[in-house]
Amino acid sequence: MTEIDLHELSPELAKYHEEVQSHVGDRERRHIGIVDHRMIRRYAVAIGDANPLYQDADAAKAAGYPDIIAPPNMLAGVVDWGPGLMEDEINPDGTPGSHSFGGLRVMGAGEEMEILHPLVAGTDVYDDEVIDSVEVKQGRSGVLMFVTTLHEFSDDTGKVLNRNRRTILVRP
Amino acid sequence: MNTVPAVGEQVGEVVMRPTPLQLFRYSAVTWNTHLIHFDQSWAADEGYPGVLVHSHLHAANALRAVTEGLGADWQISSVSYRVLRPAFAGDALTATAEIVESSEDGKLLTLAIKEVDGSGETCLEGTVTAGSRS
Repeated sequence: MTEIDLHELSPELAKYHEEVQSHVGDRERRHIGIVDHRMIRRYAVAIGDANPLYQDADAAKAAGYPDIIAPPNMLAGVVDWGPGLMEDEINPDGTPGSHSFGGLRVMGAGEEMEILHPLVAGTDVYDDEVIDSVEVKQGRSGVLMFVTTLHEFSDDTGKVLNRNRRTILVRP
Repeated sequence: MNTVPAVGEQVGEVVMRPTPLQLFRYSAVTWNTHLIHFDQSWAADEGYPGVLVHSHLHAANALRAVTEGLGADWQISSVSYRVLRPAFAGDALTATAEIVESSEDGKLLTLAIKEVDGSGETCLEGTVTAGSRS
């Protein structure tokens, strides 16, 4: 893949590129709130993992944890910890209208996670988000845009639990 | 269970068969409203043969091969992966974890993770490090 001239971008991709580029380096802090047992148990069920560490406090305690813990990528996998947007603010493809994804196809491309501490049920969690980089490349099937975002999840004492760098792939 | 797995050893293998129900529930629990994961006709309009498996669900499956393979005495400390190919409801996704490196004291392992679809094509590959909790 090679770097390409930004003037070759489709209008939709150019608009999205401009929007994201203007926010590179911005840090936004969100209070996720307490991650409870129900959330962890439901996530574990949704991924099809019956590991007792995710369901059963006694099993987690026997393994030396204070309570049930979350599967390793639960913090990374949740798209929105808030209430979400009202339906009229969501794009036709279901992506949040706060990003100009209109007419573009979006998918997760990869991630780097540093897990410093497992997430224990009952933890009050904060998420610091920084848009790291935007890259436009020429792929075999056309122009591809990669957007990399850092999420740093910490508890209410400031202890960092998890640092994720995730990359999404955006195509016309 | 204090035996340290040896380099070259495959420690875990998990097969996930994502259904539209599973993908709907994963969308719901992660508050992911992207229609490609739960609306068959939308996915078809985007040119996909079915509803798409979420990238984080691929990763959860691959990480399960590690956590099941190593057991509760180990804890994942870092993960890096790339999703190379989409997969769809109805596929069978086999995740494996293989030890590629072990620290001298045997307390830190590096594993290669991989997930292949039913036709043997790689959907995800990556690296995990895991530390001994004892």
